[in-house]
Amino acid sequence: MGIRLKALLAPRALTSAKGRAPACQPAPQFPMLTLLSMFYYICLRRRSRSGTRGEALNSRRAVESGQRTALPVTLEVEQYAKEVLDFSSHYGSENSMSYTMWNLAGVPNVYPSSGDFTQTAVFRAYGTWWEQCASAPPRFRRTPPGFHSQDYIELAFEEPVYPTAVEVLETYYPGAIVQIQACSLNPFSQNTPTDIRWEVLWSAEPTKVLTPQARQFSPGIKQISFPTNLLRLEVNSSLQQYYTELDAVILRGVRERPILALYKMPVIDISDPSDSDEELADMVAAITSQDGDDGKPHNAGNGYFDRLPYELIQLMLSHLTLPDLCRLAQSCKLLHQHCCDPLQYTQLSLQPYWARLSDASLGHLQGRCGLLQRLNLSWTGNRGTLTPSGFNSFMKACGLSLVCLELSCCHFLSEACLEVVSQTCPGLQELNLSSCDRLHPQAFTHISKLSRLRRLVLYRTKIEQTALLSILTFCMELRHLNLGSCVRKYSEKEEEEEEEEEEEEEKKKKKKKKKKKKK
Amino acid sequence: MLSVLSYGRLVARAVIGGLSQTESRDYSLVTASCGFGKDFRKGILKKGMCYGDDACFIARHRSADVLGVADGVGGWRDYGVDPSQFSGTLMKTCERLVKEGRFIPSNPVEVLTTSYYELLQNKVPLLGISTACIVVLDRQSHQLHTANLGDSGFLVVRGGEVVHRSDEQQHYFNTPFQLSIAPPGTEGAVLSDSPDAADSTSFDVQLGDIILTASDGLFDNMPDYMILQELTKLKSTNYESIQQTARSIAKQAHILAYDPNYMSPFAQFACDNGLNVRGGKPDDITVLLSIVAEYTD
Repeated sequence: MGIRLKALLAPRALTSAKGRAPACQPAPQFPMLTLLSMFYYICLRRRSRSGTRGEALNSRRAVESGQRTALPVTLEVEQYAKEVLDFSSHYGSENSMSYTMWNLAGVPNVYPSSGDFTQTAVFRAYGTWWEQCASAPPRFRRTPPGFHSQDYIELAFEEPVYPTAVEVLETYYPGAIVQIQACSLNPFSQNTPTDIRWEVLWSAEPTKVLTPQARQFSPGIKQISFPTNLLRLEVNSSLQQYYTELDAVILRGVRERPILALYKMPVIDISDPSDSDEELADMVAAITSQDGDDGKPHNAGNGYFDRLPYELIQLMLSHLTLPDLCRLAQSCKLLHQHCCDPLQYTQLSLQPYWARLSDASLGHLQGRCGLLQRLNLSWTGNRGTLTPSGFNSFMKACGLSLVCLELSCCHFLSEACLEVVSQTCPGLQELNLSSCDRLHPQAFTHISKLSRLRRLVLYRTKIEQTALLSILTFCMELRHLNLGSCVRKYSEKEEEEEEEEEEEEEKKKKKKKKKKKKK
Repeated sequence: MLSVLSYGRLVARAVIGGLSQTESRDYSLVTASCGFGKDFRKGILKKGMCYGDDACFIARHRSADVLGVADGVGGWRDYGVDPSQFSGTLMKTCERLVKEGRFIPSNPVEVLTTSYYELLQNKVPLLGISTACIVVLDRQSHQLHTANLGDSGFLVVRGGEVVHRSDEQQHYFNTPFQLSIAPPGTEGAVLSDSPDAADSTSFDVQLGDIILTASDGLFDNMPDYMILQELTKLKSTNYESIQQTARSIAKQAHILAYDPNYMSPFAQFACDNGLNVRGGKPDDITVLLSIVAEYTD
């Protein structure tokens, strides 16, 4: 009993961005080798073991009788984000601090004040302008209705914990966050596990918050079975009236696995719209098991389906999401034939499945995508799940009729990848490489071989003048060019800032002017 | 013979070891701050370190200790511009730049420049005028790099003598060089200097050097000999005694500033410029007193 009381009364440890929490000791250290202390040690072990068992039984009883008790958890750690690892866009300039995503690391600068402050993290967009402007690509077919994310940011914390709460300090026009995810990978450890899992902690529809007042946003989160120190926030600002500003993120959690999770209580979570991992396995299995069999269609004996015209079934299937389509392919030969028809795969958006896409799944889709016209691989393939060779072989197989290629935030891309794209996709009209900030400046020279290009997005890339000039010279049909935040050097700062503004406001005009000058 | 040799080798090793150790040892600054606002607005709680319209910061990073003083100019107070806002934000931005490591110790002017351009990023322009002085100690190279714009400044005192000091930058009497963000439309009419105009110096410091960084409220009211006199009271390098000395300097300057019969350096300078002025110059006073000590974690 005494032990349990101590456990409950243990104080909260607080780790700041840099400091470490006082180490808690879960088990008594093995004492020095004297007989007395050994004896004492054994006694202690016995007591603590019986203590935890009793406690466990108690909490189980409490759960079974439907009572809510405080978790018998010893130590909750509270930490601010240590580092910003990756993000898709920000309002600020690359060589400045104002309104950039890096402000989200560390302790709050502004909270609890609310208002427009440069010390906060601000995404590039709000409202619907970017979706409605002339250069916006149409929405991909088959985008699952639960996918709302427009931008993301990934944050690393000092110490991996089993999260109990995530708090976001939003200081201006709150309410843009639609999803919080946790990763099983520890970004600070050297050994990378083969299996990287992302779990959705919380997710919701975009909502409109009426006041611009600052708030501390702490949604109820799902319990997960692994400790995490890598969080990802995804936002949708389309309902916002102004830029949303984030000040800091707090991750609360415990070092030990919560005792309720150990019992594997059947947690029924209705609010989770995402597909579970098993379904992805299904998807891959479905493709693998039936890829080899391309026998003749047996239309006999399919009941009323035989009376339906081929096109009608195709039309019906076109309303399914990609995982549903893959699942349906497992049901029978007729539907398998329909589901593997290349006409179903003229548009392929894998962005909603970025967390689970791998070389293998891309390889399996390869056989069906012969008529692929629009491909969206944005956000996919990070942390080694896609390799340049996997991407290249897919492009070689399916790139011939490609018109639109979205590769935003694909950090696996290399110069060779762009070379392959420029060779295999002669008809490419739209290319989006935004936030591919690890791509070498040399790589962009290959873009100029895509002579049919009409829309090119190079937001937050390292493109340099020579590559840009050759693109302007050889891509004669270019209509839209986005060069936002392609700044690197301090000396060019002022000029570039002007350019950026100009670019954001009237990029089309500018483009046309340039073209006229050339001619 | 053998023993002599071995002893000799030991002695030589010890000497070389000692020498190399003292050379490779890093320096750091122990700094205390004190100040007085001129109009006793004690009730106003401000974020960061502000004394009246003056602001200062003390920050450190892996490779350097950085100090800064900024003196907000009160000329626009009648137009509803709070001068402490500008100087305070300028110093806070410098502090953040240093803490995040976005600076080069040998280039303090860049800290000032970057910070000024950060202020320009505000969507609602943050109006104000300020002078600024930044002092950076590079821990490894033992060099003091400074940037000074306007009439705030610093002194380096070694063995009771001033061995290095900042130059005062003035356009004309009582009008120092200044950073400013003017209301839209009046850009031409307001005196504004580029942060690149800051006077930059580098100076080798030694252990025990005293560095006094202060706003013009101190230098206008206390001549050098008085400051040096106060500094002789400083004996040890612990924080408490530095804090005490800083407080006594600031206090004395504060008293002198309100003495109507005292011939302050400011009054003397005014007389030189043909103005008949007596007494101290009531102003905000900020004093940052630091000693170069060995670096310890």
